[in-house]
Amino acid sequence: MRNCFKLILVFSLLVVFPGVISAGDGTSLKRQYKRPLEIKFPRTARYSPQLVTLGKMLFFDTRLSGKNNLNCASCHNPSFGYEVPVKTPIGATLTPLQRQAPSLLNMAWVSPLFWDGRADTLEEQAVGPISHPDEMDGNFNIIVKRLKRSAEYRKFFRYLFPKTGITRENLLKAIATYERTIVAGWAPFDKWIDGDDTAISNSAKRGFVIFNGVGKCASCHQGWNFTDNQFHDIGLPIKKVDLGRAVQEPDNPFAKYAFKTPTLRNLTHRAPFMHDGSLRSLEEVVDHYIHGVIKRSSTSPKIRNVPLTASQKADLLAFLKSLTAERQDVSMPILPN
Amino acid sequence: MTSMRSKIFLSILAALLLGIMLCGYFFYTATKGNQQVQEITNRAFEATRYSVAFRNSFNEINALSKRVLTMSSFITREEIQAEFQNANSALIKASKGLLKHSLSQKMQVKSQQIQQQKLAWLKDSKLLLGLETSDHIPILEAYKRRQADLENSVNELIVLAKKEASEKLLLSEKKLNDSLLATFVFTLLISVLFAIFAFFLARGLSKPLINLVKTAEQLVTGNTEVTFNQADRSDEIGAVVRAVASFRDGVIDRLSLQENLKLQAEELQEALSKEKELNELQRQFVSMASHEFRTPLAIIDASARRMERRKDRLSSDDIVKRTRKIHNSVQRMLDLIESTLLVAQADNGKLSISPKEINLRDLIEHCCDNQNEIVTTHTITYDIADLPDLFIADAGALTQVMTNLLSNAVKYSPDAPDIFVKGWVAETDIFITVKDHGLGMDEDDVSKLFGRFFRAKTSTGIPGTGIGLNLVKTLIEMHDGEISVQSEQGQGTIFTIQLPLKDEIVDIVDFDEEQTFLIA
Repeated sequence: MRNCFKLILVFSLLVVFPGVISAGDGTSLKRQYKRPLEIKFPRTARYSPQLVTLGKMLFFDTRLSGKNNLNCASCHNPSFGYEVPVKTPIGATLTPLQRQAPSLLNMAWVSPLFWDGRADTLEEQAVGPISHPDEMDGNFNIIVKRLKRSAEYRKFFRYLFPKTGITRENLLKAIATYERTIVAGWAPFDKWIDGDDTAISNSAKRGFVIFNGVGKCASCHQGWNFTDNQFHDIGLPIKKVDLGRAVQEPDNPFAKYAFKTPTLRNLTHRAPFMHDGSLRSLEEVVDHYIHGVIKRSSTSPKIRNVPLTASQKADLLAFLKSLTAERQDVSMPILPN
Repeated sequence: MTSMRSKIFLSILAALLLGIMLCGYFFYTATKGNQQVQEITNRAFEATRYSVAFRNSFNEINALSKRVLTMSSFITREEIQAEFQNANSALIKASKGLLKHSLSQKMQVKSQQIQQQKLAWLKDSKLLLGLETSDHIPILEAYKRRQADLENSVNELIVLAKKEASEKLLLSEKKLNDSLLATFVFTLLISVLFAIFAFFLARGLSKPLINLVKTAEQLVTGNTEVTFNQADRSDEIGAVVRAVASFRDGVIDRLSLQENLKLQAEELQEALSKEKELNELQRQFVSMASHEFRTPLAIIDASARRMERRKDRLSSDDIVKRTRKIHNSVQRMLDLIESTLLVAQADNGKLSISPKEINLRDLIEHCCDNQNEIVTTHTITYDIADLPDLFIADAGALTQVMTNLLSNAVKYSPDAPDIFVKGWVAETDIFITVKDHGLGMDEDDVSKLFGRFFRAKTSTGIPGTGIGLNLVKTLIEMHDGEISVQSEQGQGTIFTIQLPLKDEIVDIVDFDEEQTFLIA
């Protein structure tokens, strides 16, 4: 009898164990990376194509800058993953800014905003770069006046906001609504998640396992948008003092030098990397996590050097590259005169 | 209704009806097949038309979406609404048409799938185009994918419609062909059945007729022993057979009548020829008798007259001479009467012989001596020593035979006085020949010699009746013997008698005492 029980036990283990492993390893993990199919808009700024069109016009309109020379796309260029391919963008003062422009991809799912999270909504956020003297150096009163001069803008705003017309809030709402429609396209990785087994290479699949496993990358770059919307000090060497999140959370020891986890979508278009643009390529980023993490009091406990082999690194890079979607055409709007 | 005419009429009627039915069925099948093909063509056409219409209106909405979603220019909600409404109503119409004009289950399923895809896509479209409001709007990428799926489905449907239509057409064509083939085969079958039926009908008609013809031919050749099998049939053939049968009965009657007539005619002919023969015989006899009887009577008369006239001067010799002449003449007449009677007896079947044991040598000697006595002009020499003493025969008959032959020899040898008689035994027969060197006969006469009243050409001028040899032959044959003659004109004649030695008499002597006694 005892032998019989043993046999049953062994068999049940043999049957159940691989199932448990595969369930834990494959499908459930993949399910966590399933993309949403819809964009959620706040009740205060409901979607309408007209509003989005107006937002896009404003996004590309230099009239929003102090000297009519910059627009939002100056630093959030669609061709570079809504960033700029320089270490840090150059603003109205013609000097490099302190931080790299964060990507606008999938911002509808991101909050708070800015590297340090000082804005809760996109509307709030948009105020910053437009009015900051180092960036666009705009003045909203002047901007509203300028826009009011345009009959078409007047018509558009009156159509969308019959009661209020052209105002700072409406303007910001339009821009924010447009920004919410900026979504990273379906990458090979997404196709794989959706069930197309041939969408990514085996190397990338192994990289996915490393990403979730030994690399522990997924501890911060969580979910389909690859961000936990949290702030971490990742142990980058400090060249210029930038306290980061500590301005908002002075009591949090881990907020010092901490910056928001950025999305990993369309990474290949978005070099250079990090909040200060200090790493020029993805390889450098991965190398940083393998051996470049500086341990200090503020360094996130989640961050430490992860020794990866060369092949593991290659797999990880293959995986990261599979997060880039086909490039989307972004047409320039015809701006009202 | 069992006559041949009604049978044939019914068959033709049935064939006609079947033909009409087959024609009708054929026409019906062809029409139905044609209708099916027409229907499928129409439906395929409609399905394709609606698919294309669907794609067109779908493309219109798609174009509108593109225009709106690229956000490159400002389009008011009303403008979007108007364009969307136009395209959408066309789309709804097309999708209804799609559902309605599905060719197959597969297409129906596909159409329904398209409906669902369309509904989801339209919902997304409306949301994206701002025609409906919601906190959530689809991500452009997802929307595009959904749109692409729908487009694919529609394209697939178009392909499917074409494929299904062609398949259905093929199927319908095949079905039509099958049913046409079935009709053809059925027709063939019916034709074969009719052919068989016609064959049997024809045979049923011709066979009894042929039999009847054979029977009739037999009847013509006179064979009345024929049977009629089909006489109990109730149709025309039965009637014909019965008619022929009654004809046969008539033929039988007539044939028997004919046979009787023929027999009667034959009998008559026989009687007639017999009568003729008798008449001829009578005529010959009368002619012969008048002549033969007159001659001796004339001799007797002359002798009597002379004796009367010279009654005083007559010597006894003369008297003897005259009386002998008279005697001879009387003897001759008696002989004539005797032989005539015998012939008459033979003719009436009353002539009979009574064989007894006789001394043949004595008999022949006596005949020859007798003849020598009567005849003075001839000498008869005989050599009969070889003959047996005893012989079974009718003495009178043999005497008659010998006398006749000897007198003939004398009579027809006027210039040859020697006549030879010879007798001998060879094997079981005895032979007796009478030979002269007289007139003889030619071959033609030899063959007819034994005919009654026959006289050879060489006998002209010599008195005779033509009865004698006929009687001789009759008598010899009554003794189971034969008589033959060898003769040459001017050389003489040999008559040979052949008589069997009768053993029976020995048997009689040995075993029949009464007979032996009687003979003794």
